[in-house]
Amino acid sequence: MTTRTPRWQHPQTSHGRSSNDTHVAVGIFYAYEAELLDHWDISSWLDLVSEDFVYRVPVPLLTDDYNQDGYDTQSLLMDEDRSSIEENWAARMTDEHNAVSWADSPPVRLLRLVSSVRVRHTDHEGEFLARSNVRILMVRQSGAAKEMFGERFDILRSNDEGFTIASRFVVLTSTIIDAPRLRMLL
Amino acid sequence: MDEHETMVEIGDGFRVSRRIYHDPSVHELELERIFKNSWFFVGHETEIPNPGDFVTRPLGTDPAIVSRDQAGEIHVLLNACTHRGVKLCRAETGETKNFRCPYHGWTFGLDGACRAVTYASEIFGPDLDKSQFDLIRSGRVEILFGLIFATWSEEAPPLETALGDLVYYFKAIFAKFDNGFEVMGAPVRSRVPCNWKSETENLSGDGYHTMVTHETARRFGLFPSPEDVEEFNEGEQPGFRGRTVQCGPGNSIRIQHLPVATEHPKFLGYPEDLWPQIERNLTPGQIDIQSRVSVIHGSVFPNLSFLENFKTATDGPGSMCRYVRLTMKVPVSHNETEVWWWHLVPTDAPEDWKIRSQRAYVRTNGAAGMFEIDDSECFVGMTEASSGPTGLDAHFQYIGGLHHEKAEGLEWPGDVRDADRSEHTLRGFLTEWKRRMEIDESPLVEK
Repeated sequence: MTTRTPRWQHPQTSHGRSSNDTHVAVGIFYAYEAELLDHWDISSWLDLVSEDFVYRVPVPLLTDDYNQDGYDTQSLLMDEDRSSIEENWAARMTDEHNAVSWADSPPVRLLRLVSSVRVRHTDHEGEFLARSNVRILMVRQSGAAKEMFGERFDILRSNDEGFTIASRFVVLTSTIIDAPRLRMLL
Repeated sequence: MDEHETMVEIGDGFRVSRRIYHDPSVHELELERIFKNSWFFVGHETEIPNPGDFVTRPLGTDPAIVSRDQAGEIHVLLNACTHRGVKLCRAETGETKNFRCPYHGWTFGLDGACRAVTYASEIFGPDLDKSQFDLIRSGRVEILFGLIFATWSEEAPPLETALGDLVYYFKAIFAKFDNGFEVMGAPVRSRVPCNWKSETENLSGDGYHTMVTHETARRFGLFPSPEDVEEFNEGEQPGFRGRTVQCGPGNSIRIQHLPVATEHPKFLGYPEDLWPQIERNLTPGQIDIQSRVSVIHGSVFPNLSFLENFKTATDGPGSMCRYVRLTMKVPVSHNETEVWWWHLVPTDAPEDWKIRSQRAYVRTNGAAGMFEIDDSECFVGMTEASSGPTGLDAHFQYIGGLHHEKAEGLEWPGDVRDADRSEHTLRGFLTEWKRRMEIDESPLVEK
């Protein structure tokens, strides 16, 4: 496979792990964050992300190299920011637009399981690289449950009330995405 | 099923049995009659730019290796060892000098030649002719405008014959820049519980669904707005123009233009530095396709679709950007499809433009784009609602646009209709499907 200059890569840090207290706080933050997303309350969820928030999901890729990250550094499945999520995702879950937001009416029912939270310091005081595993069970209409799952790489900034998500990069584990809805906040 | 009915009745009452989508026995026959012998897209040249590069892809529904050998030649090989049929390449992409089987260690070159048989003289004697164990090769491989096509059949017509008049339109899309297109990385692979023909028909040229299925996209400004149109227009505003074309055996295209007049051709959404290349490389009729175009999409029989679209405000007002997409629908069963999604950009475009094109694409017509999730809702709904015994016995009528006259006097080849909302292209696809399935000889239908 010809190596190309990476366009997209997961955030990394050379710093060590943060305190157990921070791990507990991030775990609690993720539990309440998942509650908002599971109930499609994207408007409230946007209060948890920074003004410069970006959300990227690279295309999963299996190469012949044993030492691989499991995704393509060139192509993306999703690339969103705060305003695009507000205008194109949250707006579909409103009285004004939901009736013609066909894939969201009725909405896919969701259950997120977030685990293996690992929080490390970064070069910036009060900013953390939080890695976690996420599994989302998805039920479309009366169909059988399907799922998306992967590893999340978040940049979190601490504030008086907890944390703000500055970026989220999610590496999906499956190379073939078999879910009733690919457009998901993981 | 009424034994006197055929599955696709061509004519004024163009009637199609729902069995062609949702009956597993029809699908079994499709695998034999369509998926063994057609030309299929297997990738883009820029996915394997250097000797030793390979990707694994379906050719029809069989697993294949698409490799570039040391001389630069591209090969398409059945991804199965000729000794016991074990899969050779287990990765989706890589770089290698040869392919080695994990079972008994037989080794094959990038061109499929059997290079080494382990313990050959001990087990097979001194006179083993290794060449009889070369990998099974595709019947033919051809590359057109960077797109790699292959077929298992040695008797298939040349690719350009299979594409027919679509070659003219492909040139307008894929050959308008001096250095062509390149892929923006690896394709997405997704599963959709629908028949492979549902989305292929849609992309063949169904402009009829757009304003209903994609109502939120319109409301949220993912289509060009009236303000955009006003800004682009430079003269007396013409009427809206949308055309659908049957162009070749089962192939089709829909081309929709913005209702704007311009003094000179305008290739909205592409970097202006590249515009002279388009004018230089295309004929007047092809320039007419590209100038002021809103969206182009179509299908190559049986399962490849292409789309060229744009978003006028990718990163806010004034950040217009265009993208080209290829999608391939590979049947897993009669009611399950694996979809492959490639994004292409002009090789010569600046890097920041390519990133913006990627952003425009993934938010709209990418696998997780807003257009696609709403489209999927329709395709999956077809499977869910039409697979029961009563549904299977029913028919669809593909009669939309039968009254539209053929457009004359155009440079554009094929059967062109001046109609954006039509089922003209769907009829072209189904007519070829019927011919290929040789329905009259099928044991599925009694005459």
